[in-house]
Amino acid sequence: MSSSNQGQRSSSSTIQLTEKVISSFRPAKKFDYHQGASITSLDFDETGQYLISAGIDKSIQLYDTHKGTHHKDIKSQKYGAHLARFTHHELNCLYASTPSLEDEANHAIRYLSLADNQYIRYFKGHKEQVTSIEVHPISDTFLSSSLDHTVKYWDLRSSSPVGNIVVGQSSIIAFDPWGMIFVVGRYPDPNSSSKTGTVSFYDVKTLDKAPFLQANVEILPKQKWTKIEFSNNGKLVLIVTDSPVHYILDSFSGQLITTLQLDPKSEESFNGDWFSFEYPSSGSATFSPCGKFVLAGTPQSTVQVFNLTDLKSTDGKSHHISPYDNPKILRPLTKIPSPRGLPKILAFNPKLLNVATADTTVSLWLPNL
Amino acid sequence: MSYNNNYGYRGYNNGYRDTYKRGGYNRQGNGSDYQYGGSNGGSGYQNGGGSRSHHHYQSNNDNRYVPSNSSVESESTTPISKPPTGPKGLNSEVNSPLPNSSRAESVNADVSRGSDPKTGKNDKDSDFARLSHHVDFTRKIKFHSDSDPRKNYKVIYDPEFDKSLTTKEEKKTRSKKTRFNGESVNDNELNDPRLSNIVQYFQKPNKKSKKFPYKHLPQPKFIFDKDSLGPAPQTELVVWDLPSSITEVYLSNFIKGFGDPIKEVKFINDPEFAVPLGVATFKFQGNPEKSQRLAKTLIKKVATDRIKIDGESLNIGLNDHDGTLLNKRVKTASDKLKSLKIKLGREERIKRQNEQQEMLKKAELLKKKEEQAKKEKEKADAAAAAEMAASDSNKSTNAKSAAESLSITKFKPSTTTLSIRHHHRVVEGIFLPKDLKKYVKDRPYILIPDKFVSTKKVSSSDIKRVLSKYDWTRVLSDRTGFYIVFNSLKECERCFVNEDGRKYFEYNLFMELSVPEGYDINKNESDDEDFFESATKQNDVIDEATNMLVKEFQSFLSKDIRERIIAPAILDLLNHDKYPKLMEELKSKELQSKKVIPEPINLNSQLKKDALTLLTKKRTEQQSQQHHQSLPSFKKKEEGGGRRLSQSKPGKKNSLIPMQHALNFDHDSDDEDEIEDDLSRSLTPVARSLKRERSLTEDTVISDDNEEGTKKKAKTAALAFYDSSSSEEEDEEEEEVSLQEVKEEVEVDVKDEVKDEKMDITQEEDYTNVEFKYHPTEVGPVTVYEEYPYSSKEPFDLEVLQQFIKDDEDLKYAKEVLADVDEKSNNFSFNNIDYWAWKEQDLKRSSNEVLGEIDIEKLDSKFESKSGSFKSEGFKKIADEDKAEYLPHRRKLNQPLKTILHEDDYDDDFNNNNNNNNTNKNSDNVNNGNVNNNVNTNGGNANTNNNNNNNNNNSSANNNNNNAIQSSRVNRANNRRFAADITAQLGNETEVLSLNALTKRKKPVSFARSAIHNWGLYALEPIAAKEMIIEYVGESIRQQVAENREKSYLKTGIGSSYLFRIDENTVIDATKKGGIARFINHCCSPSCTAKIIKVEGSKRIVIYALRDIEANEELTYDYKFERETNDAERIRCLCGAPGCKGYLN
Repeated sequence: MSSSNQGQRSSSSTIQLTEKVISSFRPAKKFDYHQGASITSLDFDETGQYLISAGIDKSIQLYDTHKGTHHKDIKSQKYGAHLARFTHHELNCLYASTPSLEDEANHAIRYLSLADNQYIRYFKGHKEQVTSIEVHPISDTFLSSSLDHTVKYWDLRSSSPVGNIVVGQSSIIAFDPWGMIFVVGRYPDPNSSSKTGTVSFYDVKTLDKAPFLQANVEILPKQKWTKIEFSNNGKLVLIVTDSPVHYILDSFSGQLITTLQLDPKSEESFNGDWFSFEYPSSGSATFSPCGKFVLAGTPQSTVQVFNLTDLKSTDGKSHHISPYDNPKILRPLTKIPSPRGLPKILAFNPKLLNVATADTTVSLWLPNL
Repeated sequence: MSYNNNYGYRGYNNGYRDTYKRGGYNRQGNGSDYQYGGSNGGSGYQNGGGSRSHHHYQSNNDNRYVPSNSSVESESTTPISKPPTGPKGLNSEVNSPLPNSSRAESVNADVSRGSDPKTGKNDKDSDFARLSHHVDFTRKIKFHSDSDPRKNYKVIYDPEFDKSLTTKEEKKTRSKKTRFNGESVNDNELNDPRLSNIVQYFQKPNKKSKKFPYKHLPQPKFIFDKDSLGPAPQTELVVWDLPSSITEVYLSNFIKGFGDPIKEVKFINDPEFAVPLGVATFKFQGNPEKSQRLAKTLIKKVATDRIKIDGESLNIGLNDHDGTLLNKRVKTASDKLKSLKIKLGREERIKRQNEQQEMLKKAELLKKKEEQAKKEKEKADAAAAAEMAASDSNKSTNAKSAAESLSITKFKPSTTTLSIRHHHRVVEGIFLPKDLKKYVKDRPYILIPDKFVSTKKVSSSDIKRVLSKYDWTRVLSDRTGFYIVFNSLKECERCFVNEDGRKYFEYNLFMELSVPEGYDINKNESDDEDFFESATKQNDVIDEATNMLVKEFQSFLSKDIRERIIAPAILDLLNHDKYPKLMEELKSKELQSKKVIPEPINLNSQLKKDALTLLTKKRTEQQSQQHHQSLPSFKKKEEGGGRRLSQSKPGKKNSLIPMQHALNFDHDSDDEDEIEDDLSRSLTPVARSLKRERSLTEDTVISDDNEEGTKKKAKTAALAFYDSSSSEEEDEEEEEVSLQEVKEEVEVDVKDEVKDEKMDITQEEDYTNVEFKYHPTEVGPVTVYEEYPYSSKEPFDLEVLQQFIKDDEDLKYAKEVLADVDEKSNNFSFNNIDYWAWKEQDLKRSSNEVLGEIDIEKLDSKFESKSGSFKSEGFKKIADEDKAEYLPHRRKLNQPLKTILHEDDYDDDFNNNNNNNNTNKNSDNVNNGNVNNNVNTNGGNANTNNNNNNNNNNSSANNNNNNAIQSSRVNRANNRRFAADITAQLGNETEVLSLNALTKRKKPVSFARSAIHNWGLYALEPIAAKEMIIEYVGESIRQQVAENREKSYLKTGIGSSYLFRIDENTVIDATKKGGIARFINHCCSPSCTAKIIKVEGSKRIVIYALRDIEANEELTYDYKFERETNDAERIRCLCGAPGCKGYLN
């Protein structure tokens, strides 16, 4: 009780992200504005005040995470919506078109001003469905990856890509906190029994040349990677998969630091159907802003909290981390039940103490202090 | 085609179809789906696995489904498939191995829960079009492709982004530079860019970055709305252990004092006893978050500041959702209440017991004290003490009497016994204002303080009346209260004991008994001992009654002694016979005075010549005077009597009261009121007789016998005064006696009378005091009054009788004659003969008046009854015309009163044959029915005159031609033309004229006295049916005002109602301000009707002719009053119309 009192006392300013606080997250709001359709992406804006969700009902919903209210309903009936991402400009968002089968394929990325519901730009270049969009954390550029096996680098001012990498397979991408580098993760063909995924580290400046670092990660076969993410402190990289395990890599060496084990039982029998969906979504796990915790959703309708505080990373030093420095497998700290919907997509507000999860509905979580 | 090879087209195909069917399967159940599936190729559908479950197809009917080569992946997936976990029943039914049915089951369970994590399927998604990122599409795409690094590129320079280039032209000059495959980049340049500035990278994270590693985050505050999970934030505050003095309003104001408005303040009462538990709940206003925040701050404030409410510390807490806090508090409070009740009950019992014990002790103590007192008293005064002891011992038997007896002993000097409100507590010292001390004089008194009975509102006389039973000495009033002073303490106490706390109207007479210091109890008490005891022991009402009766008897006894014993004795003492000397002296004095008189006789003799003429003159005067006085009035009689008295007994004053009556008056004189009563009674005839009696008794006392009863005396005395008329013994009975006889008798009387007179004159020659007519005649015997020639045809009534009996003498003889007629046998007696005479005459006069007003003419012979009685003839209808013959008001109506007379009427008669008169305004059309050409042309001239002369607005009068029926239409047409002319000339300024369009259409009418009622309205000229006659003008008032006015009119006596209802809300009141239309009377068969028409938007009452109305006919309309059910309030209809309903309402 004393700690919660402490938390309350500091509520006027901020609350430190501690185990307790993270573990105390409970759903406080449930927004059902997608008519029961699957939601495929969640993203907080830079200020942490807004949240957008895109669903296969071809709508983008905007929420006020400060008040915890639904804010706006944006329709994109013509193009569909996936991977809605805020840019640094207020209430402007990028999203990937999701044309239906009957339509002629138009896989352009659209730049929409949510405030006045007007398109600012179409980013045309991808020939297949875009699978990932990552906005540069600082500048007005972004990366996208697509089923056309390329990763493209865009400038918001130009509707044509300013960079292009032919990856050769579908991939996941992420910027580091400074936006100096980005990673491209490649998982092996789920239909093969390959156990090696690859993470390539690219310098933004020389993306066309080659990655400056390429690391192999031993993984469970048949798994698909849904998200790769740098921790905000820049030390760790999280690979989110559709399997009962997620991976923490060192952000400098690409070395596997530990494996987050969510469901040991189903791990052995994993057949690529643990937490995958007909529609892809933008990752069921995320770092906390402090980079010390990982919150991961599970098919058991729980959110598991992993404490990464004790993990040792290279921190840019040249030495290698021995496998004995860190536990090979990290078990969850707590499992928070999520009774009101699967935590299929999980996102942490970068500026406020709340978490959003989504499946067919969006839930906002608040620490229950 | 490469897809097929690489990715398994079949799998896709199956999955595709399967996803469509699977939902149905899940919902509808196994059997039907199985059949359906069977038609499509067997058991594959039941698997529901999509791409993940192809293995079944392979295992069962591989070839049917795979036209092309079987895909590698599908085969590879087979071994990894999950072991069958589904229910056996399903499997057996389907008759095929269904290892994945568990998956279907789980989907089934999660239908409403969004996506199924195992199938990755969201059923709702089927409601939407499949999009290109659906797994079925993405799976088609080849996982791997050749990565051609040559296709890698980066735009090095884009003129669009070049900020140095501002214009488009400039930008166009430059071209975009793109680097492919890192051409210019050396391999050794491929370094981790982070490492170059690793320290900054970690320690100074870019604050602009979205990915800033915050370790502290602010907590958002969500608003409660429909999207919120869980219950609304708890806002209900519970306050408990409130003092019972606190009300809802007080609490809410108290909380509001902290700055925020609250709502839903609710006090909770005990469910069993409905006793307030001191527990209340309330909320702060505003949305739940705000309310909760305020609640929390209040709780905090209460905790820190130790806020107190009504002196008690405020206990407050936020209720939880289950209301446990509230319930707890309510329970504790009610428990407390219960225990308190039990405790109280117990305490009360103990208390009662204690009290009883104390009472017993006190009683004992009292007894002891009494005994002590007894002993002391015995020592002090043996006799008094013995009595006291006896009474004390008697009373000590019961508690109450004991207390009373105690109070007696308690009444010591300088103590005050408080009222029953204070349980008769005895207090030392007395309260008495200084200025009252001299009145009270050390006597015991009772104070009724002003706060109980206001001295301003209640007068001391009221108090006196209330306490009239008691023998108080004085009642003094002061602003501090009433002081009732008693002479004896016993009486004082009796009053105190009986009256203390008594209800007197709205007041309670709470008394304080004070005994002043100087009061000597022993002395006074012993005097009143007996009285006091009887008063306290017996029922004092009976006591009062006996007291009063005794008093009354005493007074009556004294009166009787006075009147029956003393008075006759005194009168006997004063008898003439007993004082012969005095009588002689008196006689000699009288003789002396007579000797002085002859002078006026000499004077008379000097006037011998004129004596006769004078006499006759005087007599005629007398007669005329008598004629005037034939209606006797008290005033005149008084004058006459007074004059007579003053003439006969000069110098004597009325103030002299004879002894006999002095005695009568005596006993009453002590009460002023009764004297007043006497005075007022003296105004009545009876009293007058009394007074006369008094003045007469002077005579009788001297001359008449004492044996005569006072009543007889009174009679004769009264008779003596009535010169003017009164016959006493005459009544109806006597009238029945043969008139002739009486006449003779009277004549004889008169003769005797004359003789007597003569004798008197001769005997006593002093005429100075005698009226002239009674003076002796010189020529021969002449009657004092002229002989009244009585014809037997005249009815013998009072007047005739009065002709015979002119003065006392006549009356006396008349009496003598009629002495044998027994008064009582006729049940007729006169107490006062002049009153009787006056009354008789009054009756006669009034009957004469009635008769005189309506002179009944002889009716037509046809109205005479043939049989002598209409009743015997049976029913027969009498025609209306005939009724008019004998019903006066009908006759009046049928022959209209010609009350309206104009000069023209005379002219009319005069000029009837030569109708050249231009000023013939009101011609009588009854007489002059023909249209007169001359007049018509004149009318035409007038019209043209009107048209020419705009100022002449008096057209209606001029335009009235003989043909009235035409006239009004012509009139209106003319008016219209006239108005049109004005508009043509002056523009649209006809408003002045159109102010009241109705006035233009008005018919000449006038009011005069009506046969129906008071005033009526009469047509001055013939009016055609349906013509408008006049507007009913008056104040337009509201219904409520009308009601008030009606009441006030009724109150002030303006009975006639001139209120005319227009509609539910509007009434026209013509009572005080109104046109002459108000004079139109009601008639049951009216000549007119009132219509409410709208004129220029306002409702007006207009009287229209119902039929053709002749000139001088009274206008009437049906008032249409509402039927009055109360008969007393019904108004009689006086219209006299044939179909009269009898009542207006």
